[in-house]
Amino acid sequence: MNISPEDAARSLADARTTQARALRAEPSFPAWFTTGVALFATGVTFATEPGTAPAVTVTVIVALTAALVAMTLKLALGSRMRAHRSVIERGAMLGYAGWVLSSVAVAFAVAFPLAGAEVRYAGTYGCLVMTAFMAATGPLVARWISRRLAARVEGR
Amino acid sequence: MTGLDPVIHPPARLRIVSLLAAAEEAEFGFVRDQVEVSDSVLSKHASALEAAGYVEIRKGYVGKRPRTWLRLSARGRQAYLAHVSALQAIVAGSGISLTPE
Repeated sequence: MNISPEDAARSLADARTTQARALRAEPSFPAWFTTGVALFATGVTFATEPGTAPAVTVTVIVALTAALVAMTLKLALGSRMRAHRSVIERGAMLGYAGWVLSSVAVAFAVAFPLAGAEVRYAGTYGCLVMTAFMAATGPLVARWISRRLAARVEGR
Repeated sequence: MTGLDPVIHPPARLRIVSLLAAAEEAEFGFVRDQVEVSDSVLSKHASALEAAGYVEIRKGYVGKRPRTWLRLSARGRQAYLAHVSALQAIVAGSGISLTPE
């Protein structure tokens, strides 16, 4: 099987373009999932607040864990496309990690002053604000990562 | 002997395989839209790639709707990378630049 260098170059460009377009078409992670994980953290913080009846704590945590498992299964088995690890790049992962850490920092920034003022459910309020922060910024971060991955593929 | 893989080489198949190479798994409708082929054309190519052992097909549901997902097998990924290397070797030997414009 022989082809001309021009055809080979066209095939390579075509493959690269297809990959970049596909990566750009979908957010790198669904914001509903990260928002759901943040809500899970909020629920656990609420259920483990000192003074909560043990039966309530156990019931809420079991229900939340079931919801988390369902979300994870939906993500793993129902996504339109999940990027392969070979196209994931360090900058995107660092950006994602930075965003998660910033979200946790937002929770602490709200919870600590409230806890200092002896407000009940300070941790829950912190996690609620974190959830709102993640819901608002998650789609932007997911799109940013997708664009980075696509740009990397295009530059190969 | 150029190392080009005749199973992957047709343009539509190369697009399908290259998309799957960038994905852990991709849903049939997503691949169809990105590669810009009809359901029947994608179905035909997917079956050929599955028969060659390059693609694995999984059927499932999203809610109550049936869905199909495609993924490149280890053998398919290896074949794709070898095919791309062969294309790059042909281009490299000619002095054509692959840098995007």
